[in-house]
Amino acid sequence: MISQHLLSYLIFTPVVAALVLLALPNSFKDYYKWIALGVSGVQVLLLFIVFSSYNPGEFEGFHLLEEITWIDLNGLKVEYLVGIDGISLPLVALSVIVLLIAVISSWNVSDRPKGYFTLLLILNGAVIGSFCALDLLLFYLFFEFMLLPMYFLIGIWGGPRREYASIKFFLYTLLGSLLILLVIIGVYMSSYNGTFDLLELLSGEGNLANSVFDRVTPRMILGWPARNWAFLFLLIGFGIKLPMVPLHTWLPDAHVEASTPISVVLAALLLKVGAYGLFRVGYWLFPAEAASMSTLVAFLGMLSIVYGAMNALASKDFKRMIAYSSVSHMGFVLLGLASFTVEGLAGAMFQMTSHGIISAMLFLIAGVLYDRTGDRTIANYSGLASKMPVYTSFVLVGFFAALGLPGLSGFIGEIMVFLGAFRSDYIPGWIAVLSTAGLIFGAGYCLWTIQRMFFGPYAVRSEGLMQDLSMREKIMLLPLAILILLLGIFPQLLLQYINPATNLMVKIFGDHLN
Amino acid sequence: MDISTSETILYLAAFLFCVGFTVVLTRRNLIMMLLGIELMLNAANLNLIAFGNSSENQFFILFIILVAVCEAAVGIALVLRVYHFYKTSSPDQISDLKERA
Amino acid sequence: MTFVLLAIAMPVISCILCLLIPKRFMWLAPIVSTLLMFVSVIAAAVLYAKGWHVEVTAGIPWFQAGTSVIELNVFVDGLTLPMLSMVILISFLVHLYSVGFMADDQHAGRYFAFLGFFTFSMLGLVVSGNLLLLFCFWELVGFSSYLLIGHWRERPLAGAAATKAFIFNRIGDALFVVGLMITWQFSHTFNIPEIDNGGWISVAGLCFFGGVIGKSAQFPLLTWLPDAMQGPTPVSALIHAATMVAAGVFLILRIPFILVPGTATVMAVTGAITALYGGWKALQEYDLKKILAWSTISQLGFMILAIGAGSEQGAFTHLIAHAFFKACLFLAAGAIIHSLYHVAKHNEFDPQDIRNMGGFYKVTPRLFIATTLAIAAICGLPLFSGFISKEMIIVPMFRRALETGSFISWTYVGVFFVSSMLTVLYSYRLYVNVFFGPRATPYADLTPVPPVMQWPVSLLAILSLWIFFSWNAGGPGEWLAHFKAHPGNISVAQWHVIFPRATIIAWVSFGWTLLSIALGWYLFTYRKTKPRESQFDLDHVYDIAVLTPALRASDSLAKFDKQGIDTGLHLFAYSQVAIAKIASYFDKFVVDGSVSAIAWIARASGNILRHAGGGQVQSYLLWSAVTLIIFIFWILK
Repeated sequence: MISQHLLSYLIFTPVVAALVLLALPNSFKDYYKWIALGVSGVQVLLLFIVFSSYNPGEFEGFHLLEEITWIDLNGLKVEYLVGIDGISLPLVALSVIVLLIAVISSWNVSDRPKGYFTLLLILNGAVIGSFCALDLLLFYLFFEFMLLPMYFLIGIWGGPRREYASIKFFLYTLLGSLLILLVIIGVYMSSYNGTFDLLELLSGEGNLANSVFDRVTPRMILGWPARNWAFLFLLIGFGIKLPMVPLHTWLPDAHVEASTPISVVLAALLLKVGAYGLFRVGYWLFPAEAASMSTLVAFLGMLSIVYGAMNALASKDFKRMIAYSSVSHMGFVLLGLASFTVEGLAGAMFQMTSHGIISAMLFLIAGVLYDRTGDRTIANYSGLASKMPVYTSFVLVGFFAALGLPGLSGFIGEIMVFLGAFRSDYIPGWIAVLSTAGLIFGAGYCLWTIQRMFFGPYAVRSEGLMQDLSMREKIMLLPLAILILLLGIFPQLLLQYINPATNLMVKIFGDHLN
Repeated sequence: MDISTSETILYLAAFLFCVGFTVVLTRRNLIMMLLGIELMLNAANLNLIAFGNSSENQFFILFIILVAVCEAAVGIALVLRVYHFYKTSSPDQISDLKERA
Repeated sequence: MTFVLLAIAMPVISCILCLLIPKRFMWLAPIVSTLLMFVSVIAAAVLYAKGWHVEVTAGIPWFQAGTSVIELNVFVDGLTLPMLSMVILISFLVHLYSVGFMADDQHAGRYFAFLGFFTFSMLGLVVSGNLLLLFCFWELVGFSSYLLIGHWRERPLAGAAATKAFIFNRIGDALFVVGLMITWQFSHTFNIPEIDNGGWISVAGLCFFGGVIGKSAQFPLLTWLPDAMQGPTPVSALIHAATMVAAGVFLILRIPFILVPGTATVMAVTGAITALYGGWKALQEYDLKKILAWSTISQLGFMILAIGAGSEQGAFTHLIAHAFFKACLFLAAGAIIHSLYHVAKHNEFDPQDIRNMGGFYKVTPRLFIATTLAIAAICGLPLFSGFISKEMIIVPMFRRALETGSFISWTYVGVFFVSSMLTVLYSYRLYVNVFFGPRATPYADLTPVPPVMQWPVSLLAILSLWIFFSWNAGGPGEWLAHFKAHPGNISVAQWHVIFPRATIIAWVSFGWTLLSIALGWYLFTYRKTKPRESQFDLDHVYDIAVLTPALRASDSLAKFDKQGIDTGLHLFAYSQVAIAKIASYFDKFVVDGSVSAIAWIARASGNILRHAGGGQVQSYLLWSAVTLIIFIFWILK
């Protein structure tokens, strides 16, 4: 019974809880966080049921499908269609875990807790929803629904320059959303039964002759096929969210201004929605165009890897450095997507989950220091290792995972992306080779930061009581560290879900490309 | 009742109505205006008699008179209150709701 | 197989135990980990007893990359076994030595945990059956080296050295990854026995050699090794002399198919430059540990040169021999520094500077004897391991030079002789400065060296004797040299058949060593030359040529990010705002204006009309009555 609507429960539990929270009077102020925590607990339970009912060997397509016609006008059919495959399942799991940790991390929020937790819960539902949605319009709806809570969460509970950061974030992503919406409308106009069902659209049936995105006789816009424009628009739209150099400048500002839990959610989940969307919409609907532009995508991926890493090297702010490291790591996802090989795609998907965990950990680590002193300048700390040994151990795990040490999860994704990208027929080899510079710069910024902040004689040039991790902080960091280790040593835990799905995708892409 | 009688009564009623209406329009005293209204009411009662003198009508008129009494009592009470509050009973000087030009 | 796994598992268990041990029982950590290492030693001994030519391949699936499965597999053969045993034995001795060396250290638990982790990674590297797995361990040894160099976290230099070591290794590893990518594309497997040859192998081989350059401190990525001496001395002995830095040499021997002519030449030239540069720097250095580090670099270059010039067998023998005598020298140096440490701290002099030593032969006679053996081995005197390994290197090298007669082959031979002379010179200088000459320190205050530190040194010194390498003191015989037979290798029985002039070369080599010793005596004992430290340092070059430009590029990119991209963005935003302002003026004066006009008309008419309503009830009534009457007339009409 419960398994029929499992995903809906997963998506709408937080939304319902948000409504309940809104209805509660202010005298229940101390219980808001418990409600949010309870919701996350329920989601973890549901996640267990999802995993137990998901058998990767069973069949390759989508599991736990739910399909209800939602809007059915003449020639416009929107469905409530949700389902997961091996690509979205790890991301859903990641979302549940990261959001649970975000709630724990928000435990001390005392400024307008009602609004805060309501927005967090709405964000929760929207993120999971967008990973599950298989109807284009439904996906877009969830995608947009994430935007507003995030805007307020940065703009109200952020740091000193929060208005600037949140407006920048909002405008950037809104621009991206508009481009995506344009393509969605075009897709709608080009299918003869007016469907938004991604599964139908993927199969390429329902192609409307002489429409904008006609597959058979391409329509030209400004001397370039309309379908190429569509993919470019999607690349820009989702690339903003990803973020892809040069559309990334909202990210460092947003991260620096956002509070710790919001940074965690932003880096671990929202960036993934961008990459996921690019794959699910861009690559599904326009595979041939994506293949023809693979060099561009891979080049942008390489640019993100190297450029992000170099910027991280130059950052003087701890959080800004981590933000740029996210840019660098998401570049691997682009590179993997562009490769059109099984290992490249699987590597990209693995990298998404792995980076979700690692970036969450890194931002929590930055948050620990910020909570103590309110200062994020790297130069103001030195020799923390002697004063905070437990903290230092977690920092080592986090940073070495970020620089891709074998045995930790970051390595698997990166190496698979490299292998796939070099082998790919769609990317020139030098792009993959140059991307390995990211490995060197990655080690550079990670280790240099550790050296400056943790080695040497103890000195802290800002006010604050420097003590080692509290119980709550350990509870947040430990599961992430364990996951990083677990996925690094037993990558098959995740790849057993990812591989069948990417195999299938590569097969389908191959059919489209020939 | 024959037609000539009823006609006479109608004339009387018209006369009474006119007197009442004139009183209401011209007098500058709320109590006098109230009296004028009473006259007009009774003229209407007479009209009712003139058009048909059934027992229902008579009963109805008795009822109206009764209500009119109550109404007059309430009216006079209101006028008294107004007089107490504004120290005047001229409607033209009671102008709180009027826009101050 | 069981014993291989047992030998590898022990250090892991030791690592985990040492990390989990509560603070109160920290004194247990050294004992437990040393005992566990001893179990490993026994396992290795059993493997030896089982015979030389076992070849084991076994594996379980690790993960699936694309359509093919990458295995966690083990590949043990004649090359692996000596290496495996060497690593285990030296690691055990270093553990034992550390019990004494780290007795006063508060963080001994952490130290032994990392030592265990390093041993595990190194053993993993040695037995790995596929290149990806090997690369994983390759990085992990670098990681544990990072942790151990930075063991004394409060020292700023230690942190810097650890970072430098890891990043230099990373530069090589990036190339290694490129090699992996090439291998994957053309061979589609990483399993070492299954990799098929092709033209691509030369490019891939060069990339793998890039990794070797980083790990084995070859030119140009060599300056991290002297800096790494910031770590505890036993760590330097284990990681930066005996095992990890030799992993590069081991890697080339593991995948000998990359030794195609072009690649081999690159290797030989790199090795030659490194051997000469390392020897030259060792001559100028005054820091005891740094002399040994430069010596290690020089010896590693020597091995790479040997491989490139066609004597893989000799290179491997030299690897094992070098591991023993260099570890012995490092541990002896550590013991001397340890004994000097307190008095040095008290009198504020540098306990590592050889100018502050002298006359030690009387103080620590046992260390003196052990060091003498090891120095004899490194110089290549007969009856010591170094003589055999040098013999095995020079003979095929010489033969190839005679056969091809090419200039470069003769250059290799020349470099061999020059660098062995350099080796003798710096060894002589070190030996004489430390053990003989005037006493520079009041010995009464020296900390005595505990037996737990003396025994490993003595044992390693004994292992530098010829007997462990060959029955035949003058050349290759039936022992270690007899490792994995692959095409380039010659079985021992054939040695003298193939190389008839081997005996002559051995005598020449011996004579050359004696000549070098005489030169050393002339320079350092008779003339008392004090070499000045040269101003040339590769690190300065890197600073100017690589590091500063890279950081400056990063900074300017960051500036570009902030000012370039964001300025464009802000301009865009401002233009939007300007358009919005114009629109708002339009809105205010044109759109709003027309609405206001309507409102004004309404108000004006209202103003006129309101005079009709004077607030007089009676006039209202009158008007309504009049209206009513008009209305009635209108209806009745």
